[in-house]
Amino acid sequence: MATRIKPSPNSSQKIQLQRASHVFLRHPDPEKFLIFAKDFGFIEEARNWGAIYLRGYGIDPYCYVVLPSITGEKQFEGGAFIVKSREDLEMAMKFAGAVRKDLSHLPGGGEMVSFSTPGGGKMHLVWGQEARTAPKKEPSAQVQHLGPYNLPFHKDRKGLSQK
Amino acid sequence: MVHKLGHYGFISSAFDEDLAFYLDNFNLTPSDVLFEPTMPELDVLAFLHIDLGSEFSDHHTLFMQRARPDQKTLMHHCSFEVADFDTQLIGHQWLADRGYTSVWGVGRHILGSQIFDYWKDPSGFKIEHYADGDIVNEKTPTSRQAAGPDTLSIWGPPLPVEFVEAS
Repeated sequence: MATRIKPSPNSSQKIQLQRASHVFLRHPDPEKFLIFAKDFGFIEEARNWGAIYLRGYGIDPYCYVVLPSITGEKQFEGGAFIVKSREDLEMAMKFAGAVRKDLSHLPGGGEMVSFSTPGGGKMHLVWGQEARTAPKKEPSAQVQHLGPYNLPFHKDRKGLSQK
Repeated sequence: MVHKLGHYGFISSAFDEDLAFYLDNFNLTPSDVLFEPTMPELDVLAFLHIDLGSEFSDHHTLFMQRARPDQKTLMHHCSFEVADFDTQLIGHQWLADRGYTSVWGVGRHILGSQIFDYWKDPSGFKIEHYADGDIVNEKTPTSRQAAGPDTLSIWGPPLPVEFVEAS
């Protein structure tokens, strides 16, 4: 078995990912995790059938999905990626355990295909989801204005304070 | 506040098969590869980015680490972007004041350049705040080097043992 990674040029035969979108994690005590999640900087966006959807301030309607644990143990349930076209979703139906799901009841809507990887992990692809409108400027409760760093020899922030 | 999901990664007991699956079926390609220092033909960690052609994307969106023979497949951490260094330090102090468990940080990674800050959530998952990461495109060459503590951070606290283990 080859143990050195081979180059992997892109081709039209491959499923085209656009970006990472969200992760699914099972927690033994979702409510306890939610207190941490709020302190960490997530915003609760929606709840549906025991799942809690958390977002940041970016374009993804949610970027972290909190699921209750079934076994009492924590468990990672895979990451979800936005794909470029509906054809990319169709292509994923060939994978082991592929299941297609309608997401129209969730923020942003869309469709998702979930499947297993050879090592037993999970992966999810989403298409047709409507993106959020992200703010033009990074929001912050503390920072009013941050310009470039004033370095010893290069002071590019002239007449403006950093606070 | 966090901006978005930046990346996640896991330790795989089927590293070669899993990696082949992601590389053969998707527009994912390695930005950086690490090999076992005592076995230069054995790749043990791959940082993969989404290949968008000339368009730039994050240095890694997914990473995979080869499990030791005694390890099972387990997730390592997931990582969310914050605005900048100031926000990271404000966040670090906030989480510390609330009594949460810091895993590693604040520091700066070498591969991908992110300023990192890893925490343990109440369930025991590792989760990261990051800022100022590299972005790459089709012109960025894949680099390959020996794994070791020197490939992990340019500054920051010493690497704790629990960071290397799965979440």
